[in-house]
Amino acid sequence: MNAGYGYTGKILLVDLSSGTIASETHDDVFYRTYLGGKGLVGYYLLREVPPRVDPLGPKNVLVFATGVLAGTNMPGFSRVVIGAKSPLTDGYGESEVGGSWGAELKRAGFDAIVIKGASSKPVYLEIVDGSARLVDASELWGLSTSDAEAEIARRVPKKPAVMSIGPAGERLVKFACIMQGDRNAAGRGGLGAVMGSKKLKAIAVSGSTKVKVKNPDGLSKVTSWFAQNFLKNAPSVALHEGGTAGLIPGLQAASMLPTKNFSRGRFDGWEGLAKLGQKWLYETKGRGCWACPIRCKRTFEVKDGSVKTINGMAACPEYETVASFGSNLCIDDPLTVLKANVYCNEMGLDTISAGVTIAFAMECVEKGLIDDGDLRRLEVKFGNASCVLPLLELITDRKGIGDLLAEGSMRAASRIGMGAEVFAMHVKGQELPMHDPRGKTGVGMGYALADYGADHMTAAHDPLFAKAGSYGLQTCAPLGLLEPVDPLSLNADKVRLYLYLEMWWDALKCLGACFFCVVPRGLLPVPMVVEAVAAGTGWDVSLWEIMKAGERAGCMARAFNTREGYGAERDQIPARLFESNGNYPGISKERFDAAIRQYYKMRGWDPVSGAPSRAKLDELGLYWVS
Amino acid sequence: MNRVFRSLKGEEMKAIVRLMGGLHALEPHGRNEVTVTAEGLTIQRVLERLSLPVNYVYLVLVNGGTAAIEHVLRDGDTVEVYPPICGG
Ligand code: SF4
Repeated sequence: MNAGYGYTGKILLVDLSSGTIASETHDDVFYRTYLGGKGLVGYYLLREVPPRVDPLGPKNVLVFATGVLAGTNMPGFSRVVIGAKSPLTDGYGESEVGGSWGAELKRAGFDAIVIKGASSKPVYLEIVDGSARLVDASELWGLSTSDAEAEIARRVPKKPAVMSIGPAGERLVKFACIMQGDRNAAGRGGLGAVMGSKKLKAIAVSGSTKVKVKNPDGLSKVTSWFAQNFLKNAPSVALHEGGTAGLIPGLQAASMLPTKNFSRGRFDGWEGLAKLGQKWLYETKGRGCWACPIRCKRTFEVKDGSVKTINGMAACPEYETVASFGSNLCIDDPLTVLKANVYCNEMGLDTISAGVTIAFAMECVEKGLIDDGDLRRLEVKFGNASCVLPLLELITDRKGIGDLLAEGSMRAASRIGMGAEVFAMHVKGQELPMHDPRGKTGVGMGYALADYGADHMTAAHDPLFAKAGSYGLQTCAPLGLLEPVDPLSLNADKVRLYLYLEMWWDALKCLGACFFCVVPRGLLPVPMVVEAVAAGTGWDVSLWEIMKAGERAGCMARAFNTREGYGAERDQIPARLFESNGNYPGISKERFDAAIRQYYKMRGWDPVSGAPSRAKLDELGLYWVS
Repeated sequence: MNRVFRSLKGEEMKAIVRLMGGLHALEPHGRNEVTVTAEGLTIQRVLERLSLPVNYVYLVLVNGGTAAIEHVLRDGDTVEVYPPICGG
């Protein structure tokens, strides 16, 4: 093995069927090619998952991967990308999560973990300073994520960081998530169900070896600049003070606050929800991920016992959760949203998919498409806050109507039939996040094109690039984005803008970077990202090389889906988005479809099937990918 | 030019400007809310006086309705300015 800087060079391989644990090493060329994070996920999924396997069967593979700066002092660069074949989309699945677990894994001596097979009884994986073992978890099965974490922490000598699933993952709820601590969720893709199918309750990691950095002075130049400047940067300050829940007033003002299952863009009760981004009934404190001074993860100090707390504190819901349990269900009560958030985190449910699936059920009731005892008893309808928690319990327990809803909105709709499909707001089976693409069409392209199903974190959003001299254009000039683009357009300039931004974010996903720390959503300028990677690894790396790694990772995700037998036909947004939201007109389907086709061509993919061409795969060095 | 408008009774014409979504970080005194004596001035001019980079402003509301940055302020107006609204 080449002695690495930044990366450890070691990947942990765990086979749960046989109970064997091994590791493999890679050299500099491998890391410069795949970089880490999303790149490693794509590499291992293509190498290890045979085509068309059952996502909840033993042949699926679960990958946890960090970037080359994880565990260093670099703020926001210790995120973990988790991947597997998704039970929600039946294709490439990916989700990112913050916290300190990625840093601990690096400090324990590994860049990534690849988990194959399935255990016959519940286990957890314990990794302490270079050694790993599987431990019986029969007593932990059934526990909530925070209870399981607390129990595991008692057993490991040095406090570990823990990724765990809750009862929802154990019961294979299709949108079960993986939690890191009580507030960091790898929410999307149903990866918690994959972990549950493998009977893997948790992965606890504890490491004490400092990550080797080639040029410590070069790296600390970047980190000190960040520490000195983030409080002068408007987006960072907004996150520092209000967390993402602080977005509510702005999205309401912009008529892009998803309301009533995405039929409207404004919600009359928004002021109640906006309290979650302010100093509200309870005192609030900011908490953060490894080495990040922004500390955007806010916490409520709940004194009246109305919500389950950990050391007296409850995690504040993120914006996505506030809108999905709030405006999109026409609910204005912040306490219901806070409780739903804590419940989902404890049980291991993705708050976006859970909320959107409940919105789907509410609309089906309204339209008279389903009639069921549970739905009647709980008075499931838009605006009724009292039905949310009981519905979440039924979903987690897979009881009554909950068993149907636990399949997610796409599968529930096809079982209900009678045209219920049009009320299921999903792409490729994954529910829409809380951004209305009618006011920013690039976000709609992201929803359609994301290989892992609808997501809002595929590329920075259009409004940042609306005006000459805007923050987005000032900071993204090094990416070749020099002129304003209308947020509502779908012309060639929009496709190019989306494509470059997506490649940049895929590159950041390979680096395990938090978008809130890096331009155009945050502070760290493009050249400083390159400088930090160079300082950490010692490579004579360039922006070109990093962008190519992003493009490669995006291509591998697409190639995975091509191998699964699908492409362009699933790059579709729900028909409701072609209708007005009351303030913005609907997106033009014709122009949207043309933009998607143009995107394939710009990427060197087949304009009809959307599959990467042989030449493109070869250009990216992916000769081995068929 | 620092025009201050007065009513017939001699009172100053006041408007409230709220800096939303972290924009107050760019205001020299870090204020979230500023009362300006500004009737007759455009929002753009008021923001320039507050030394706020106008290009960072994506959306302007006056008394709850969207308005252009060239909107001329009147006594009692409440203005909210927002940066680009993005994901998270
Ligand atoms: S900005 Fe927030 S999510 Fe991102 S690294 Fe910092 S604390 Fe974590």
